[in-house]
This record gives sequence, C-alpha cells and structure tokens, in this order.
Amino acid sequence: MAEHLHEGVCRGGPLDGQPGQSRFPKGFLLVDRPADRCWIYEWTGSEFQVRDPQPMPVDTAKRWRAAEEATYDVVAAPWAGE
Amino acid sequence: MMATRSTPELVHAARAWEDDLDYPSAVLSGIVGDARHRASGGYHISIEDNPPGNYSVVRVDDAAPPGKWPRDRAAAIDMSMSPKDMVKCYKRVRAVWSNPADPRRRFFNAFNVWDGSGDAVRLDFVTGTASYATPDHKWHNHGEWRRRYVNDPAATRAMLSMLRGESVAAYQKEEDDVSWSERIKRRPWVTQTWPHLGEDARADATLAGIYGFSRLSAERAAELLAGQRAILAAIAGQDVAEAAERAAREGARAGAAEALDELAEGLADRLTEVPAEQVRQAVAEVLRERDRRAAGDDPQ
Repeated sequence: MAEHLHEGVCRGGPLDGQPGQSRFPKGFLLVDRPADRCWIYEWTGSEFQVRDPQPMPVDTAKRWRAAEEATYDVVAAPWAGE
Repeated sequence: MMATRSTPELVHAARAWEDDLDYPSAVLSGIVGDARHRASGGYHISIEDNPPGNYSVVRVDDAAPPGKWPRDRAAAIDMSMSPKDMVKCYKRVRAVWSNPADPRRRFFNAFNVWDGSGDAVRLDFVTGTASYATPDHKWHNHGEWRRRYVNDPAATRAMLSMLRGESVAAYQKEEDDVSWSERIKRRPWVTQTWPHLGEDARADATLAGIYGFSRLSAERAAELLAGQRAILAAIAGQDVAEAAERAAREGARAGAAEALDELAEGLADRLTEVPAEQVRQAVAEVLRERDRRAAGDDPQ
C-alpha cells in the first residue's frame, strides 16, 4: 500500500526534525504501545505537523479503526520497546 | 463499489502478532486496502476488486475460479514496528523463506521486510526470490497469504510460528499438539437433525461425542441382547409346529392346527416379515457366535 507515499519532515512532538512518511492523505498516528502514548501528525502538503505535542493515551479500538481506514497511517514509534 | 473485507483469521493473526509475540512496538497498520489502492491492486484488495490479471490474482493458489476460496477478501497484513523489532522480524521471516523444506512456506505468497540497512526487501515464498520493496517497508512489515488460505487457521498458526522464530521441528510438534483444537465440519445428517449445533465443532469435542454415542449404543445393544436371550429362554423347548400337529392329532378341537398357524403368522408379522422360526434360529445363532467370541475362539 505505498502508491501514494507522502514524505516530509516532522514538526513538533517526539519526531521533530525527523523524516516522516504516510500512505494516506491526512497524515499518521504515531504509537508507542509499551508506554501507552500516541501523537497525531497532520500532513500539510509538504511536511508533517504534530497536532498536539502532549501525548494521548492509546485507544486500541480507535487505533485499529485508523488502521482499517484510509485517512491516517499508523506508525510504530521508532524508540518503542527499546 | 468496494467489496473487499477482512477475514476472522487475518484479524486473529494480526491481534496475536501485536499481543502474543515478542515485538513490543508492533501496531497494526492495515489489512484492507483503500479505494485508491484498488486501482493498482494487490493482496490488500479482494479478487473482485483487483484489476483483471493483477499479480495477486493469477498464481495457482490465488486464482478463483478455478479455486473455490473467497473472492471478496483481502489477504495481507501490514504491521508497523520499531527498527529493532523490524530487524528481529526480518531474521525470522527470512529463515523460513530460505528453507525450501519448511512446511510453513506453503501458506504465504510474499513478505516485505527490512534488515535494518539499505532497501527493504520482498521475499517471494513461491519463487524463492528476493527483490526490491518500497521505502515504507522500512517501518512496516507486509505479509501476504496465498488467497486459498485466508480462512485457514493453519495459516495463522504457521505465520505466528514463523514470527516467533520457531524451528521446523517445534512448529511440527505444535501442529501435532494443537490439531485437537481444529474445528471440523459436522456430517450433513447431524446438522440436518440438530441444526442448532452449527456447521462445525472442535475435533476433541467431536471425538468425545462419538465415543459417548458409541458407548451408549453398545449399552443399548447389550440390553437388547439380554432381552432376546430372556425371550428365547422362555420359549425354549416349545415348538409351535409340533404343538399344532399334536393338537391336530389329538383332535382337541376342530381347527386347532389352523388356529396355531395363524397365531405363529401373527407373531411373525409383528416381529418381522421373516417367519418366526427363522428369526428365532437367527437370533440363537448370533448368541452362539457371541458366546464363542466371548470364550476366546474368535476366528477373525
């Protein structure tokens, strides 16, 4: 599912300054499962902007729904489980 | 109109991949492809929604027809992970992919994985080849099942075994152990007689049911045989024809022989269409045979 890969720098939140990718048009949900935290990064057309730098608790039902829908991608936090 | 849906097995496999394996960072990233994905096709899209001739609907274990598997189901899971878990997953998937004798291979079409450096790689389980995979596969694994197995619990077990990094021997032992939990189809006469039981049942429950039914049947048969022996004992020494002849000879009363014949025939009608004497002899022979077997001289 990579036909429409959006790529850009992430602004704010834990990925500030790092490259990000999403296969879907609105951005991605960054999930740190072990810590039960997540962030939403919105695609602006050229980069990803964190909606709120403060983490939210993970709602598994919503996370699964996001994975089933085609608006936000779901991405594991790169540091999770370290 | 999109017709692609997931399957219970894919959902179960994805949940187990997240919760039961040692990939703490794992989060589901997709099973069913979106409408735009439909244009290019692939295993996230059902057979019906794929463009004709798409690579994901032509292999022998994917094409339906002639295959009879579902045409409206996705056949792939995307699982996002941290780089550390991606590398762990890569090593385990590659170990199965690189062993032509591994029985788990038969369930999968391909996995897109990443070893932590350079490009992601697509491991084709059908051809045994490795090729380039797009950069998004550096943060999510993409696993494709051969479409014929999208509803097969054995495919789930094989995938989870592979992702656990189990050896072939461990997988085969596990298959031997868990086969009793497999759900098997009930016989048509069972579902017709007791429709509330459903179309299938666990193998162990089915075996227990068969054992119980067989034991009950044996007990009932023993009771029936005991009853027949009691009847035979009660009529032992009595010969209906001889009694009728004697009655006729003695001239006890006119028509006695005919009356006894009618009585015998009436009894025979109630018991079976076979003459009563024949029934008696047959039952006696069965009992004699049973006694012989019980005495240990079974010729079989």
